[in-house]
This record gives sequence, C-alpha cells and structure tokens, in this order.
Amino acid sequence: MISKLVAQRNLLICWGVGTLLFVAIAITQQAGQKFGKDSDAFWDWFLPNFIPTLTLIGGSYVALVQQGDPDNKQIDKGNYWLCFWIMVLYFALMLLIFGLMSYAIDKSENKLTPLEHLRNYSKIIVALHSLVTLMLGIFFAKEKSTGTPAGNKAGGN
Amino acid sequence: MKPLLIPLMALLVALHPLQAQQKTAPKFQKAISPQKTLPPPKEATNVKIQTKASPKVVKDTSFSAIKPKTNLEKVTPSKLHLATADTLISPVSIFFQGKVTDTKNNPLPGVTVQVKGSTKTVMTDINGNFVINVKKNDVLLINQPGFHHMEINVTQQTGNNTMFAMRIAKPPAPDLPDSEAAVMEDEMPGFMIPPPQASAAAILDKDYFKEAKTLGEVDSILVKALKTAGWGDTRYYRVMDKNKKTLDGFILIAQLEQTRDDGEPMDGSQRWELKFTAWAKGDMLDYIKSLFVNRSGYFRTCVFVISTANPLASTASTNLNQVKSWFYGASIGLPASIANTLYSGQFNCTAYIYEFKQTSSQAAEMNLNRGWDTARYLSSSRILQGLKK
Repeated sequence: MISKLVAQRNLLICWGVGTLLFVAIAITQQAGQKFGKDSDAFWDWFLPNFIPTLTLIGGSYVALVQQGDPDNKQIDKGNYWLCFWIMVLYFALMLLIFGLMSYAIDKSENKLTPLEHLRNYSKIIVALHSLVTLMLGIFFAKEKSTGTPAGNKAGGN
Repeated sequence: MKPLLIPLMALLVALHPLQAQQKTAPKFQKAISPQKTLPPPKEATNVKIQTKASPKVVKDTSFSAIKPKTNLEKVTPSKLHLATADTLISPVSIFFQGKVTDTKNNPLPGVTVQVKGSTKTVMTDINGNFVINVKKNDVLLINQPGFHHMEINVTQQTGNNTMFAMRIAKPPAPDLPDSEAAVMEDEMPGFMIPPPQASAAAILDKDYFKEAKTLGEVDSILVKALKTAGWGDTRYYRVMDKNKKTLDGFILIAQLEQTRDDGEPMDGSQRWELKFTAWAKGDMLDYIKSLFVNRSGYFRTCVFVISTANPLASTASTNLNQVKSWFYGASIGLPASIANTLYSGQFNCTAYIYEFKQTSSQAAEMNLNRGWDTARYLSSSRILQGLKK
C-alpha cells in the first residue's frame, strides 16, 4: 500500500513535468516556425493531449489535500505503479512521434506537413491517453482508510 | 520500460501512414516515365551504361570475368542492342553503383534509375554516376528522354552480400548513324510561348552571341556557359505560339539545381538532388535541429527562349512538378533543321529563371520574393560568368 496523497503528488509531478517538457518543445518549434501557417492548428491538436489530464490530476490532488487528514488514505501500490508507467509510456510515445517528424516527412517525399505527421498518430495517441485517464479514474476511486476515515471526520463536524 | 518501448516503436513504424503512401508513386515519378512523356525516337539512340563495383567487389569478382549477356535485348528488341554482364548481387539488399554514358563515353547526368514497381528512384549525377539500393530479382528501369528506356533484371546471386557489378553496352547500330544529333524535328516536343510567369526574366545581351552564325552556334554558346557553371545536361523544345504554330528558334532548358538560402548552388551532388531534405544525412545533431526549425530548400532552373518573337509577357502560373516535367519531357538535342538555321539580329535570347521554395511545412511554391533580377540569378548560378567567357 502507498499513501494516496504521495501517489497523487507523484503522478501530478510526472504528468506536470512531461507536459512542461512538451510545452517547451512546442514553444521552441513555434519560435522556429516549424508549423508555418499551421501554427494555430498545431495548438488545437497539442493542448487537448496534455492540459485536461493535468487539470484533472491537479484538481483531484487539491481536493484530496483540502479534505483534511489525507495521509490516512492508502491505495494499492500496484495500481499506482501501473498508472505511473502508462503515463511514462504515453510521454515516450509522444516523444517518439515528435522525434520521427523530420524522418517521416522526408520519407513521404515532403508531401506530409509536420502537423499532418502528428495527426497521423492521433488514433494511437487517443487510445493511450484514454488508457491513462481510465487508470487515473480507477486510481482515484480506489482507496482504503487506515484509522479514522477523513470523510467521516469531516462529516462528523 | 524498455521492453514496453521496443514493441511500441515497432508498432509505430508499422502503423505509420507512409507505409501505405510508398505504394503510390509520386506525381513527379509518374511524369518522368518515358512511356508517358516521350515516345521512342525513330532514329538511332545510343546508350551505353557501365556499372562499377566497389573496390571491395573488384577484389573478389574481377570485372573482366563478367561475361556478356544479351537478355536485355528482349526488352527493346528493335531499337536497343545491349550487351550486359552477369549481375553479382547479394541475396538481400545491395548498393548498385553504376555509370550511365552515351556511346561516346560522355556521362549522362539526370538519367532516371528506378526500381520497377516501387517509388525508389535515383538520378545520375553530373558524371553519370548513380547508386541505388536494390534486392535480388529487382528490375531497374533506366529512363533517359530521347533514348529508349531500359529494363535491367537483377538476377544472379553470389556469396557476396554487399555489392554487385553489371555492365551494359550497346554496339553501334549498323543501319543507323552512331550520333546523338539524330534528333528529328518532328519528334521534338513543342513549348508554348510566352512561358509561365517566372521568378525573373530578361532578354540577354546580343553581344554574348555575336560570334554565332547559326542557332546551333547559339546553342553551343549557351551549353558551354552552362557546362562552365557546372551544368551537365540540357534539353530542347520547339517554339510554339498560342495557336500551336511552330516558330523559328528553340527553347533550351537547364537541369534543375538546388540552392541554399543565399541563392548559391548546393555543394557537390546535392546540387542536383530533386528532393529537399531538411537535415544533413548522417548528422544526428542536425536532425534534432530540423525538428525545431522550418527549413527551406530552393530549386532553380533556367529556360532560354531563342526566338524572333518577344515572349516576355506571361501571367500563367506554374509549379515545381511542372517545371521538372519540362526537363524530362524534352528532346536531348537540336535537330539539324533548327541547328542550321541562320542566326540573325531578329532573334532574341530570353532567359527565364524559375525558382521554387520548399519548406518542411509546405509544398514548393514559386519564389517571387528574393527580389533578384535575371542577371543576379544567372550570376549566382555561374552562367553569366560562362557567357562572358
């Protein structure tokens, strides 16, 4: 078992760092005019892949902290690690897709634009992203209390 | 983590859309197919293709040991007489290195060498050399406008798993003149003037051609200037007006060159590469940089219209693929009837510069923003210096 608060904080850090990394990549690409006239469309593609999940994890973490006595909530360590590694896998996939960009465009005889290359992987990204949110959902729902439940405490007041 | 990533990478490669795209030939490659763009000439065409093995191969398989083979005559029995050598190939993947020349051993640049049934295509460089990755049983198509196309079967296998060698030669046709000049006017395609809008256009000073007495000599002056500037190949069209009526003169088209951002020609064989690559091959750091910046490739060609008409005005637009097809759809030489036409002061030589800019984020578009005049373009391409000589 692992403290739910610690686990959620770690997941928030994991997703936050990953998101920051890709935001930095995206901003650098924008500065280099990598997407040309597709700049706006790129952000339309990019942001939904990171930001909603970040706010979900962040929001639930804040909620957990505000509930009071969050440390007595424990969750299964297996669930935590599964969730963590799926997140890592998601970022690795994104990194691979971004890293293959120039190669794929060259192989397509320059018929692909950078954005088209990214969009070509949308299905696989959505599939893995869905898996991340599914795991997070399970993760948030499951908990065991050690000692007096914080919810009961709050309810008792 | 690592065990998870490996199958993921394999999945990505398998799922990538370009796997499907590679099954579709690019438009340009369709356009240069000689079966579609250039009917077989009626007169003699002499093509000699020599291929070389790398030194490693020569060590094991002496070139002189290669025995002539004539199965290629089946491909073009009536016109093309080929003596081929055995092909020494690897069972899997090999780099076929060759050289394409005419019967006078003049290298033929810009010849298309394609693996049949695939989009894998290379062009010979300025020295007629090419390298292409092939597999056993691949068929190589060698296309050169004005010549008959050839098909080469890669059949024989040896223990050497890296290289092979082949030699193809065409003996002189007994009933046809052994000359490249055997271009008939009626098989020379026409080019309508005025040509489409160019990046720059100007009538060249007649002083450059003051020693010319015939159009053939005008052509020689231009070709000499182009060769001085590094160009190896030129193509020709008849001049046609809007009513498709043939006019006096001819149109000379230079090979497409690739230039840098500053307009200077690319170095080495990269100058003649028809594909823009956003990074220097083999340079990982440059590849990473290419992920972050929108790099540009520039393609440029020169079209010289030698005509009594004044073809400067034109508003029609064109694109890079069309300009590429101009070159590969043209005749390789001037017919005698045009070459022997007397050159008089009525003829103007108008130079058109077509420059295209391609970036990694969008298709090639005509570059009208450089702000250069024709002289600047010609100077940048070293042609002006050649003309002045």
